[in-house]
Amino acid sequence: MRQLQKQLRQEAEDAFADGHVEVFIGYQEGFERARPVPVFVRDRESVQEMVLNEFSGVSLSKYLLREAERAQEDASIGIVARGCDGLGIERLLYDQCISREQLYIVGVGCPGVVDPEKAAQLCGEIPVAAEVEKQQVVLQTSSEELTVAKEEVLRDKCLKCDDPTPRIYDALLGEEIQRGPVRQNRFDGVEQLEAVSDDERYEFWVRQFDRCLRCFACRNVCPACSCVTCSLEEEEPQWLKRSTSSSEQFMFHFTRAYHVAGRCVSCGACEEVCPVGVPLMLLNEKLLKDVGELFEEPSPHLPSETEPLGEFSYDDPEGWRGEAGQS
Amino acid sequence: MKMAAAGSLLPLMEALSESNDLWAPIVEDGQVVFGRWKGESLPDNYRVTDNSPKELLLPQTESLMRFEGVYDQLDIKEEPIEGPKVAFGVRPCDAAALDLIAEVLGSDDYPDERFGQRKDSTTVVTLACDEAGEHCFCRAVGGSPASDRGSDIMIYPTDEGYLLRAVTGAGQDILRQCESALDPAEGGDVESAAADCEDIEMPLAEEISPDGVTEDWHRVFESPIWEQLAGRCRSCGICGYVCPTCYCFALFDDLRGNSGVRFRGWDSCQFEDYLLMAGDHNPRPTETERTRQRFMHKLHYFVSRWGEYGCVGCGRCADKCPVGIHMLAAIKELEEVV
Amino acid sequence: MSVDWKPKIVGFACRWCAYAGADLAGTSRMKYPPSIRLVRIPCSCRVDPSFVVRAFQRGADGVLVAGCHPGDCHYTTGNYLTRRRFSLAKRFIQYMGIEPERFRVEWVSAAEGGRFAGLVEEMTEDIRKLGPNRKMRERL
Repeated sequence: MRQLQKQLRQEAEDAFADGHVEVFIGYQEGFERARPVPVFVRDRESVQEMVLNEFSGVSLSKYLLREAERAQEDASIGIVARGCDGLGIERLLYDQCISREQLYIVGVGCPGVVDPEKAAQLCGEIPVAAEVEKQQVVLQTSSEELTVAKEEVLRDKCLKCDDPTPRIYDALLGEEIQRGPVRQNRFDGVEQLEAVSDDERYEFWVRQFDRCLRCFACRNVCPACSCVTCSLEEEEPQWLKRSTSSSEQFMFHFTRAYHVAGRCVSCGACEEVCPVGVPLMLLNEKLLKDVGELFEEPSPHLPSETEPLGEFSYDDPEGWRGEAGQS
Repeated sequence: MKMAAAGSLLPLMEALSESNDLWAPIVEDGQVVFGRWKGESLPDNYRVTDNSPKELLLPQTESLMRFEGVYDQLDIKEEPIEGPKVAFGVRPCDAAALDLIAEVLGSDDYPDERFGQRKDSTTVVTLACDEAGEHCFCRAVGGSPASDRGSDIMIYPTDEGYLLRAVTGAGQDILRQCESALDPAEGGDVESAAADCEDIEMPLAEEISPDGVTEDWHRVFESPIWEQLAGRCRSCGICGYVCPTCYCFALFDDLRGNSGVRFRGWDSCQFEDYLLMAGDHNPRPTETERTRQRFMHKLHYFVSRWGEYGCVGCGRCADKCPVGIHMLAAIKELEEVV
Repeated sequence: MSVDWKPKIVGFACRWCAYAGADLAGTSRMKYPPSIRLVRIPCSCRVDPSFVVRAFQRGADGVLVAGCHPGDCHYTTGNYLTRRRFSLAKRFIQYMGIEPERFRVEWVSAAEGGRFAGLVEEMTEDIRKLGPNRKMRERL
């Protein structure tokens, strides 16, 4: 990764030197080493502030929406993108929120990102450095070195990743990586939940949603949520009451998930930012799973020109047939 | 002074729950949250809960009144307040925060009656800290891991067990209720137990100090640092909603024909529409102004009005902000300005 | 469950077919339980899945979305979109915990008065067995 960081700085510097980017979105050192934060580099000199390491994984794609709005008309925006952010960028492109010409994408073949919380649990303190190797992850604390399995320390979303390298880029750091670090079955959680009774499932969601603070972080970080006025903030008609009763929480989470149905790129950013651990991906993945099953989309999370809910075919199945109560 | 059995506070919690509505840190799907007690012992090694106990005094949303009719035939029914509660295992920072909010919502000039009633009917049992969490910095903002501010009963962990001290009369009454679950503290020294908690290591509190910010606030206000800090803000409500000292709320009506309910619920200054006015004027149109407001409020405005920081150093914002805009980061950046 | 509780069903019916089918059931003096309240809509694809959640919030024990048979849409393709949308939404609402019997999507043509009456009867009976819906229910 150290090598990649050097390359990234070089790429960014060249981009500024050529004068074809106005701002470069990447990561910089945060308050803690293991928690790098997004940075918006606006001149060549500040390029040296950029970092790229095993911890820099906060989702960046949504920032493009705001930066594109504020940028000069013909100026272009640089962004560093792991596979998941690459899909987020594609999402914004297909939704026509930004144009491809406007972007300078520096892709990263991503070996997986270390979750600082998980790492802290394992080491007893937040490690100062980490290296994701072929089979394992080496964590470096102030006093020792620890070798652990990838499953134990990579972010949950990385364990299910199928797309470590962005599909579109202008420059690529390192090599293309074809396979995700672990590749657990994406729909394991959904299948487990489907297997329990309706009442148990309802209780499960009541418990999850009751924790929800309605901070809207999940919506604000989502690259598929690009409406100028969100329907959840519409006052006439007011679809979502501001009361946080259990009933309204269902309306909120149903609407949020359903509005990105067929467009979710499975980047996992929503679940990652949730301060109270609502398993939002269990909602998104259920919709992805059904899109895949019903409309024969082999990889329903990959963005494309047309979206499953924006089109139809004459011989579509009726998803409800064969269910209880339905003739 | 009483002593609870060594190793566990469970018998005490069981005794308390017999005649009280007990709230405590509980584990729910792997998250440590402050909620209604379900009969289990306190989670291991928790520092602070995901949500702050301010929820007990200022609920996320609550209905204030129901109304029906029109004009002069309007029938208004005030919503009754739920019964007394005991908040157990509160951390000193969170207990202090309840007291701090009370300065504003319980002030003599404009008392918030519902808040006041809830505060009076909630008994706070505080567990002093024997270890600082990853983001704890209470000492840097005038707090202490052994502080009894805002508490009715203090519990100090020691090697032999837990030492209890009633801080208020209400605390004494509650302690009397559960005497059977407690042993007399023979030879227990509450002073030294408190001093041990007082002296725990808290590296962050040594590292940062917001004092300069308050003094040099003009320069701070104008600083370009806000733009850098706020550039990555996503305008979500995490920081305000997990913060134990944020108390902003909004009122809203849910109407059905001629009847309805008036609610109030939390609001956050980080939302884009927080200050949006009629005619589309927004005094804080971008993340920069909103971020600045949050920190200026806690480090300067609150200080000049109430004589103390509007932050208790619980570190939740540092834990939860997905892009690292928090009190610690802000103070560190600002130290370079002043 | 109170003795005189009767299922309350909200029906969203396309004005060109299902609503006319319901009309036919009425004018033909067919008997079916008075448990359904019909909302006339221009096309079944006008129904946003949030309508269904809203109906459950406001006290419905069951929801029926009824449109023209595929191929018969007055607007040519509306019900094809309905089919996609509700294939997902139907499963999703069940995933959130609502029993599948409580929410149905059906095709009813203007000539199918008998089918409409039969559907309402069947649904009412299913829901009667389940009892009143408490899920997602708003408590004011």
